[in-house]
Amino acid sequence: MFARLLTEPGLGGLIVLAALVLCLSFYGSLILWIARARPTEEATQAEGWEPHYEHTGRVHP
Amino acid sequence: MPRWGMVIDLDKCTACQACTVACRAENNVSFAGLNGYRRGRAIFWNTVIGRVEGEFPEVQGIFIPMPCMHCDHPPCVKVCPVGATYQDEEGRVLQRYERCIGCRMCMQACPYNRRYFNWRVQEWPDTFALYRNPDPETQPRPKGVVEKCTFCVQRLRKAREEGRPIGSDYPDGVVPACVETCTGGARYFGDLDDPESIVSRLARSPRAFRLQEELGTEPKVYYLRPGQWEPET
Amino acid sequence: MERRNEPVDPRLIQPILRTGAGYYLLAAFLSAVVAAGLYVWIRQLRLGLAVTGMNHPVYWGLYITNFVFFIGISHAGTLISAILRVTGAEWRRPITRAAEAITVFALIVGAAQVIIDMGRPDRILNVIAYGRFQSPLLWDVTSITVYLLGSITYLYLPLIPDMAILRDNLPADAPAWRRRLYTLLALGWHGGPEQRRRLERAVGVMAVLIIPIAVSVHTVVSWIFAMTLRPMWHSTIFGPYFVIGAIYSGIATILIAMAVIRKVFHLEAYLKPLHFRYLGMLLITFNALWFYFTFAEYLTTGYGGVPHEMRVFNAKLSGEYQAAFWAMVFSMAVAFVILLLPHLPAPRRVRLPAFRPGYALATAGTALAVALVMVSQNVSGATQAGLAPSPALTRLLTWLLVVLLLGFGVSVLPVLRRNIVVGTVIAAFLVDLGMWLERFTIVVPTETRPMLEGYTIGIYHPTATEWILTAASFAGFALLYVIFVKLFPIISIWEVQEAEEVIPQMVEKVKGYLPGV
Repeated sequence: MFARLLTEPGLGGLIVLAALVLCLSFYGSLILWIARARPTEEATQAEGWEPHYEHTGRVHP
Repeated sequence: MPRWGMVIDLDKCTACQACTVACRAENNVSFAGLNGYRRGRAIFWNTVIGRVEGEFPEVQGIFIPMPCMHCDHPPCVKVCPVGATYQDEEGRVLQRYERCIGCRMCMQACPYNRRYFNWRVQEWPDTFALYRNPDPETQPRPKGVVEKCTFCVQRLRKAREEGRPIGSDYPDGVVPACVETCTGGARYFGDLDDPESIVSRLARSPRAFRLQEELGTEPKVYYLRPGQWEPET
Repeated sequence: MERRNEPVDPRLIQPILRTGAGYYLLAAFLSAVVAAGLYVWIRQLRLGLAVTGMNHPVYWGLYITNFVFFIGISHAGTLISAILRVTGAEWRRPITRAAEAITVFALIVGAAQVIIDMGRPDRILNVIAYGRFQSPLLWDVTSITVYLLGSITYLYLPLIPDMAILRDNLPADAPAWRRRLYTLLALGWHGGPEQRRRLERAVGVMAVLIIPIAVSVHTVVSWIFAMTLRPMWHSTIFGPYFVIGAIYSGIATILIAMAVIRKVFHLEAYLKPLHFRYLGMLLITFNALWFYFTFAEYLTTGYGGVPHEMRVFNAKLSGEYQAAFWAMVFSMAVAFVILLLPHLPAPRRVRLPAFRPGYALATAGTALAVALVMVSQNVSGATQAGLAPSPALTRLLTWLLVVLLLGFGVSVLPVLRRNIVVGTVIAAFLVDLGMWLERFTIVVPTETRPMLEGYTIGIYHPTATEWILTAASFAGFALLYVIFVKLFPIISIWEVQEAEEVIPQMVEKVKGYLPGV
């Protein structure tokens, strides 16, 4: 019976599509999970990690 | 349902290769030309391979006509990603030209190298136009797809439509072109599931063997070992 | 979390903002090669695969070789990023992005090889519509899809904070599309503690997940061959063998990429000799592993002596594929020696010769001349007329070539030993060359020896179309990379900066290993 599953034309395609959808959902959800993180109240002050690039007008090595 | 098989008597085969030519005509197998042949592009649904055995002076030439083996456990069907190659209810391994994606995986899987690829659009010399087969099932295959021997599936289809018998058991039984043409009467075709058919009886002969049986592909083309000739019963 | 106000090193951003003439020249050159590839590919679509050297029984050739090769080097990202991240190897920080980029682009170019090789690429959707999961090709499609999507995610996630850095720090004269691009890709990153925690978690999960996915990819690619019954393909070792080979060529490719980036963008402060040293140690480890697997495979085959396998075996070792086979072995062996050199104790009694440019040039020049003579003998009209070069002469010239190359090697030994970056990168080139040859010697010789005796031996001469498409594939890969470094920081800015924060944790960790704590 399981063999039938593997040999049937079209079912393989469904498996590929299922893998595709699973991946997109899982990886997508990871990305969204990060994007949706809310900054805490103190984020505007000391907390939070944002490197600051000091622009000197010219970029020198 | 019949299970179609073939028997080739190597004692009767003269290696004349009429089978290869007849197959070509019946199935509109394309021509590669001398250049194409040299480059390994020629297509032979039926081919005759030659082998030299022994050392001089005890040399023997063995010639083996080979159509597709139409295996009962076809490795080509196993690996086809799209089911373009498939086994029908009568045991034939056939090809859906309109579905084939030309990946050539089936060709790698076949341990008999009996599958061919259309490296370019099919071509025939003008003279061939005189005897092209008009049957729709033998029409030119497009470039980029795999093709091979079909046990002349179109002949058997026509035979059923016209109510004619099929197989070497009948004096005017419809058989594949190679079997019909064989000048030595070496080839037989019939139903392996009918224990009384000539192919079944010959397949049970002590002279019978199949190519690369140890691989478990269960080919349905049997060969009768050359040597002592036995009259048919 | 401390707020960090330290300035970002301009060297890390300069490649993005400043473009020299050299860049445009390189991009133009690569584009030209890719265009040539496109031209011959379209021609191939019109005329059919007859424009290649493939035939009956050599149904697969350079395209499949390249497919396996590119999917192989895609393991660069997985090894560096994922395994080193999971094992807490902090030295990986400046390398991760370059490695992850290799993975994504190698997968794309690798998948393209399949399209190029198919007889009917217009029917590719049949694989979905009629897909049969019994076929190894479907396993391939599934595995590579999951890996490609995973690699893109794994490249993108650690890119987010860098996108925010760029978003917030672009100079006023930067083009508007850049600002929009970085704002979009930064996903509103604000760097709050919760967000940082989530990012670390997500990256950690991906790092662990991507390792078995990557292993499955090259295992499944090997099974395209191993699931057939062909001699020297139908081998149980193929799965692990291909995975080892893939990681091996991946490390080599990341080394080459690192060396180029380091030189071109003056990033010596970030890509240090120690990085080359550590990757070099990984490379020599995988070199040894590769030799082990190769030796096991050939010993088993040769000792068994099964006739149809021996025909292929002999074709590789002493037949018409011996050049490719022994060049492969030689490349890997020389790479091993070069990689070993820096780790050998300094000679006390034996003094290595000083680098003599004269000797190096003389031996290299003579070797090149000999090689040209040998090659010309094989393609000259004399050969086509049936007058093959005498085997004795060929053998003599081959040994002369080997001796000259060894002489050259000895004369440059001091350089290789002193300069670990140069040595390791030369070894990496040899490894990638050897691995390409390995894929070739796996794919083609088996096809030329059909199992059934009586078939004539197959012949395969790749045509210009195939070579041009090969070159275009490499150029396409390089071009994607070149575009990438123009858009994104090739060294992960935040991960390198984060290293500072990690130092106290590491001190605590090592203390924890010691007794009495």
